[in-house]
Amino acid sequence: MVFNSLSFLFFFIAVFALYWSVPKKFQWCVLLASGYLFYGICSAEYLLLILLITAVSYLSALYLEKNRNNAKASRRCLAFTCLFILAFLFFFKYFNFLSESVCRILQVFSVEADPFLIRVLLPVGLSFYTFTVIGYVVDVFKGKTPAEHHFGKYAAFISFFPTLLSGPIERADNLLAQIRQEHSFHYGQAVLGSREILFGLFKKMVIADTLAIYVNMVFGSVRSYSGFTLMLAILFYTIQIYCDFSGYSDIAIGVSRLLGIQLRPNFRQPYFAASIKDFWGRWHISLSTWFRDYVYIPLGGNRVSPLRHKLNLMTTFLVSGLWHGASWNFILWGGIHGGAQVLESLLPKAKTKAASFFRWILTMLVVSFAWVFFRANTLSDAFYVFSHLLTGIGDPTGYIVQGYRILGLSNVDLLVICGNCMILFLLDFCCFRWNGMEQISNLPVFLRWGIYLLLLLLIIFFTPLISSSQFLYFQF
Amino acid sequence: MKLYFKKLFLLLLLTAMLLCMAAVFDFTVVGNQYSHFYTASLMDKVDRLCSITEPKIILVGNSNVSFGMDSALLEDAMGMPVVNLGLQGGLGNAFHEEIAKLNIQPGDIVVVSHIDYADDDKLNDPELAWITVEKNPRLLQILRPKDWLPMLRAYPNYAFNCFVRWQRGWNTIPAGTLYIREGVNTYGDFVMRTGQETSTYQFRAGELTVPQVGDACMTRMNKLNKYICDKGARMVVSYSPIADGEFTPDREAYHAFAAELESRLDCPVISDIDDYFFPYNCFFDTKYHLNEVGARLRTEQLIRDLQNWLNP
Repeated sequence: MVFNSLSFLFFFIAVFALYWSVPKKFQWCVLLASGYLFYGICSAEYLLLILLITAVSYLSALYLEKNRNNAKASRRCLAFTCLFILAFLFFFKYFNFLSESVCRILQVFSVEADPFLIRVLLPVGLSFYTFTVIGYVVDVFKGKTPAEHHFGKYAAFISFFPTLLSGPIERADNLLAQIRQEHSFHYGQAVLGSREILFGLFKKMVIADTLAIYVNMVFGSVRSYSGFTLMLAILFYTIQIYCDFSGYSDIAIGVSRLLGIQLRPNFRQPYFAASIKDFWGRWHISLSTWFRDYVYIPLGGNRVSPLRHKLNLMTTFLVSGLWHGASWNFILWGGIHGGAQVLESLLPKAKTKAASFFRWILTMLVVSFAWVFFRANTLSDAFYVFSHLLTGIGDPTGYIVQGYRILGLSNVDLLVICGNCMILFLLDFCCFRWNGMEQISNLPVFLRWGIYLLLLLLIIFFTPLISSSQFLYFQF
Repeated sequence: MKLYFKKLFLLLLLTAMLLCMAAVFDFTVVGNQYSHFYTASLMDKVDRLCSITEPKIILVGNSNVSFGMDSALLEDAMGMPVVNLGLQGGLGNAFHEEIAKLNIQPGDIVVVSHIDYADDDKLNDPELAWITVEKNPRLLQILRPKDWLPMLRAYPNYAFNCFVRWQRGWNTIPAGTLYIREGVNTYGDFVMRTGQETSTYQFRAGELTVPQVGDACMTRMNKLNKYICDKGARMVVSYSPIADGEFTPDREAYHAFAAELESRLDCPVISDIDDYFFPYNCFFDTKYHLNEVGARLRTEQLIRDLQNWLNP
């Protein structure tokens, strides 16, 4: 059940009605029931798994709180819990990758071995809720957050349906704290939430799903294309993945606001980032801060020797790449971002506007080209893209015109795509300047309603009929 | 909460009003913008279907029927007027069957030839359905109540494209394609242009697959058979052409398909599947479209099948 489906609309209307009609002290019950129902609809076969992980982490947190003075026992408990949870992630997500990689390495030494593969589907949202759980247990261990004694409220926190499948990866000090509270309907929050949902739907349904048609066409059989077509596919994917995932996050945040719960922002106009470091402060913020707090800082962060600091950065990004998917493509993608940050740390700070602009161009090039590894089906496909980007550039006009004609893009299609991207740019630019979309409330009513109507009509008129509808980050 | 819902309702109402205004503009000012497309031949096919009052032969199916029949030959041989309703696979089997329902008279023979019998009883491509029926009230009747939701969903895309075509004056005979309304003769057969009669389709490995039989399709076709019988007409099934060559799957699989189809249909299957294998050089521009030679061979076979069925 994806956010941009009719079934989700009906589901949410029911949850919304129930949530605001039950006595406030039972609101968490509605969240818990809706979370499990939502997960059951998406992936019924793994309901027990989420329940098991919830139960184990709940008990561990209680144990950790109780034995705070016993450092040895606490550490053992923490290690056991983290390993127990990560074992599921490893089994479902990485076992086959490891098995295949070992066999490939053995083949290098002329040892023939067939990989032992497990044929199971990756439980939906596993990567996200396991990180939420680990974050909670570590926070309890560190004493940053108290352990939740109410199992129902804790289970409602883990299974909170807006964030369950694709994040944002929430922390206990924010989400669990709010689940404990009783909520009253707040008009301003509801308007803000609705606005976020509208923007999210526009990004996902109008832009991401339209671009997905062309991106899937090219990356589905990458060797049939060359030159500017590949360049366009990279550009389109760069926009698609942003609109797809930030659109999802916007909807999740908006839906939560309608239930009186405020989630932390997950995207802050990442393509306006002035550096790779800045990019990671704006892209999938909940994940990057998770890696910062639970991987990078425990490794020593930047309070170590310069060499060790750079090693920590690389390690964090390689692990982050691996988190996105069990494939060398993702590891390489993480490595590129890590390497770029290491190189960036060696450069002097941009002092002039021209230098900042140049740095922004460089950042965008690194980010866009790194996406090729993220999207390509295999490493060799990714390398094919890079080696054929400039094919036919000898005739620049033909290079560009043929490039987009091959995709079957008419001038009208191109105009529609450019127009919608321009609207996205304007919206993002305003949010960038205003540091959020709250300022939209201060616009004159005609302008504000004009924006809402425009976005609604664009969603109705320009959502492709053959849409991919599934959100890209569901696969992770 | 009241204020929130009041404003939300107002916003949705405004959107609905704007959409209604756009739809009125589209229906009254923009009008039909695909009237030279191949699919617009449906209008002519329906005109012919509804104008014949005597018993007739109605050919139902997708483009395998439109691109694979010589209706004049069939008409001469059977002594009954023929209407070829074959159109486009993207519309789905159900759509094609519904066209025939517009005028079934006692004594009619409805010959159904789908390329596959495992459809999900849905419109395959609702936007194509809009392009096909456009704003013609008579053609809109073809749609079943269950088709209206996907049609409604597809309408904005269709309307926008209509607007662009209207604004640019693009509703003319499309250049560089055979797929135009004018390429279809009075019977509803697609007529090849000069130079294209002998074109041969290049088949590729893995392209040809054995048709399947599905529950939804069988249930619907048996209902159609009952409807036709209640009207005093008869429904029969004949096979669509199958390309016979190096990439064609084993005959056994086709025989199994034919046996299953015959056992699950209430109406007779008048053809032997082995008679509907045609060499690759009988195909024109897709694996379903016969060229002139292929169309004649298939029609001759259908004539034999119909005669054998009528005079056992």
